[in-house]
Amino acid sequence: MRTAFRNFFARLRALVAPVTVQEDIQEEFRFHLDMRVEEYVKSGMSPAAARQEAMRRFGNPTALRDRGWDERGGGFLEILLKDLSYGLRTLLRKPLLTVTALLTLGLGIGANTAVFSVLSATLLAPLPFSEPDRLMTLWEAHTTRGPGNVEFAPANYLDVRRQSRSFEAIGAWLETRVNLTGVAEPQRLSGMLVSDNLFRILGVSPRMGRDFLPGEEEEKAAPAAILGHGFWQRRFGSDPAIVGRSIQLDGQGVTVVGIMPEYFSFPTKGIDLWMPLRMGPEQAGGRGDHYIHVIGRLRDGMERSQAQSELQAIAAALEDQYPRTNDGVEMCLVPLTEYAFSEEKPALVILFGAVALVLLIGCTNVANLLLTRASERGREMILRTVLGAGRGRLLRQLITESLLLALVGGVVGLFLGFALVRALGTYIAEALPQAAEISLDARLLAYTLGISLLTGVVFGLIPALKASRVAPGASLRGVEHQLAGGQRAARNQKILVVAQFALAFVLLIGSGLLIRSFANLMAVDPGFRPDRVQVVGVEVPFSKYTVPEARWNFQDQLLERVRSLPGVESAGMISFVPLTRSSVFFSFSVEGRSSPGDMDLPQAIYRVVSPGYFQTMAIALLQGRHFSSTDNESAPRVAITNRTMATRFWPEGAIGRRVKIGALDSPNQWMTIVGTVADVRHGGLDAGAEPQLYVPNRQDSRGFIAPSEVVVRSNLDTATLAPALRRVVKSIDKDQPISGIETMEAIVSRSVAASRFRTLLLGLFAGIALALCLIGIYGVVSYGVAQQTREIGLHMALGAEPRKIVGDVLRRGLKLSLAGVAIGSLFAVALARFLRAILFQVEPLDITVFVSVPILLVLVAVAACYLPARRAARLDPSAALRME
Amino acid sequence: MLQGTLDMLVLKALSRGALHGYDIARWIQQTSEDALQVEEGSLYPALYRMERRGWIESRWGVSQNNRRARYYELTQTGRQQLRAESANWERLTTAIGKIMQTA
Repeated sequence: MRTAFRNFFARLRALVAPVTVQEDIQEEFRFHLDMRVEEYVKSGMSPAAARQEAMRRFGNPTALRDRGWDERGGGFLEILLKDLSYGLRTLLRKPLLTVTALLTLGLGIGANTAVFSVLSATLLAPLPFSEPDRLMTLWEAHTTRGPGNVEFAPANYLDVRRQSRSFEAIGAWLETRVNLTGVAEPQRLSGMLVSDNLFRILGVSPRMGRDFLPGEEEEKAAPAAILGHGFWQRRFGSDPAIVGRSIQLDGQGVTVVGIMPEYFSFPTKGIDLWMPLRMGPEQAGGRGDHYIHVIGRLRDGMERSQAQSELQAIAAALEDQYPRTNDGVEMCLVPLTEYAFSEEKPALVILFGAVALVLLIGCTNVANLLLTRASERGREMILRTVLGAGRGRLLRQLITESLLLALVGGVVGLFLGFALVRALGTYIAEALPQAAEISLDARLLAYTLGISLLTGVVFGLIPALKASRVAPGASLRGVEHQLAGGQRAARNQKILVVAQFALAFVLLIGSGLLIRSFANLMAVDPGFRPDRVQVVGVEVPFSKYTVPEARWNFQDQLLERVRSLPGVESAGMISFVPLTRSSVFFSFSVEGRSSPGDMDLPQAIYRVVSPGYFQTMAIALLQGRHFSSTDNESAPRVAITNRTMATRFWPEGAIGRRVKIGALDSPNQWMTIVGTVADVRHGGLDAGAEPQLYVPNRQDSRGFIAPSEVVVRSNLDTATLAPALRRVVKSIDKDQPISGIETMEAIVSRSVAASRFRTLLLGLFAGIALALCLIGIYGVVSYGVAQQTREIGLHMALGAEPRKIVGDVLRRGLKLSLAGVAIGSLFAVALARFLRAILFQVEPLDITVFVSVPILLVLVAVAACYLPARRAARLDPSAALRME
Repeated sequence: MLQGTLDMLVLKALSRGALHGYDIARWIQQTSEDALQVEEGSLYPALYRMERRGWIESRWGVSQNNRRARYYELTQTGRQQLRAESANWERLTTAIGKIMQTA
């Protein structure tokens, strides 16, 4: 092994730096001669005579150096160069074959390069933190509520942080939105509230200024913020003097204590600033709401399983201590490295498998082309054998040719791959917003080089073995006989075509399932009409609007002025518009159904909306009435449910029934249901129908769920509406920013971006596979027809109908494709279940797909065979018979 | 000289420690009391070949007279090879000896 390694480097050195190897040898010779001369001189010879004698004893240095050079890697190199130049000439002599092979390889390798570049920017992207393997995210799991990890309740987080011994430190983060104020152009920012130890846990420090200090998350500490590099650059022109200065956030002075490095953003891209997560006693004692993200760094040498069992023990103790809130609350660990792209992982792995299949199909195609050529090269091989080349030598030359082809194909693939990535740029950005920038780095190049070489061996080996098999005693005169061995080649080729169809079948099934799944997704009624609706975020700061009335008045004023804008039909507000992945669930009690001791309360998506919201979104009112401006703080509490909630809890009619947030004995007020609306997909188009509860904005004073998103139905385009809205907001509060405006259609489209992306890619790859199959079967059948020209001619001379000839050829293609389909379906049935995780309302063994794909494949096969079949039928029998 | 015996002699020379090419040539010459005359230069392709086979390893070092010289050293495989070749040689010479002793 070690020797092989050393020899490899010796050859590499001979290849890269031949001069140094030659010089090495010469220096060694010189040393030898000098020593000899010295010895002779000592024994009394004249220097000239000594040198002459030394040379005589040494032998011919030039010849010796050449022999030495051959031994030290040079021989390998010379044969390589010879084979390469010979291979190049062979490839150039058959330009059509070469171009076909190169394109095939380029497509296969390009698809692989593209998918690998996406993997490289996501799953394989190294986390830019020190020893990221020791970083674990911590989660609660609520066994009684079903599967899935849940964020921590604040008090649970603090208990784990205090009690755990497995971690060096445990910290937390929580998303927040703040407004940059006190400037001419106020701006809504993406902020993170973090425990003061978070950056130390991650092992990163600010590039300027300082980290948060231990104790800075205490309530009494002075307000402080650390800025993200991008925000600092954009908003403060990279001014280093900002550190130590105060900026206005939601009208309050906050000191900038540091700037993070450019590469850093946590937990997602594009965070503008981080501030200490400060919790008052009430918040810190809460165990009912679960919203804190927790992360810890394992102690050095600590096993994940040890930490996991400690965490379980802590969770169990908390269950005993707080049965009311913690019953069924377990805790678990997920490594940060897995957490990062956990949702996208199955689809990416499937795509990676798909491109591997495409490349394999490409390989069989090229192998087929080379097999065809192999039988034509019989004469050449025999000639070379006669001239003294052994089989090993022939093999080596043929494999060198394949590798040459593969490497050039790899270069083509690199270009095609990058073209693909560029073409798909916006899809990738939408489907994988957290992906690092895709770049041509050493890893990607190494990957492309690696698969190119592997490809070269895979497709080159069978044809090389075939071509180099020269029967012992073969003579040049016997060439014709040798060439008749074409039968054997034809059998190999048929096997390859069958394999190709089997592989393509698997891909087409996968792609068909995804297309069906995507069609189902697009056919889902979201429950609202997104056309002509635009959304803008207006988040009023609590520090300024401290009392609920102030916020309500702002909302009312805002909606009134927006509605009066020319071109605006209607407007409303909601806490979070559908399909933006913000989910706030509240548990609730139903009058007459829930009992006081109930621990396992039902949950509903809870949204606070203004009057006019349902009308603007065109959400159908099924029963009862909408909210109106009279549903205010002094009116009786009311609510609107969706259809699912209404039918689940009050099949006999929901209007007039009462619900309350929390347990039956909670101090919250009863709300009377005044209306039922259609089910709206809040979590995603693929989300199931869950209970949804809407309350009017003036009857909910909870700050964090206050309506902050304005929906506007109008005939205006974004460019017209955005400035108008900004003017309206500024006319009410000059410090109040708005977020970027977006159409509801864009939000819907983005919510299915991941699904669209993988459907598109898999469809594309299946299409390539199909095209390659077409080329493959066409090549093999045409070749077969060409080989049998005489035979066909004879048949025709004996009176066979042209129709029968066509039928024969078509039947041949049909047989091959049917065999491929049969084998492929075995694999497809086995593989389809891997897709289950990413399918929506499609069974992995969907009958439509499993029927239409075989038909498509067989049709393609027959179509591909039609040309050669017609050619066969038009043969002139007499000419065919005379052909040699 | 018999085909392949040069390899064996070189391995033998190196069995006592690292040497450069000139020392190997001199050792063979002196130990055989000038009976074996080798074209000295042909030592080098032989050395390179043995290195390629993994019998010996080489590195640049400094000779006694302070010049850069390439030193060769036996590897584990080389030692095994030497043992195998000596045993072979032993058998061969005994056999030939027996034949030559017959009248």
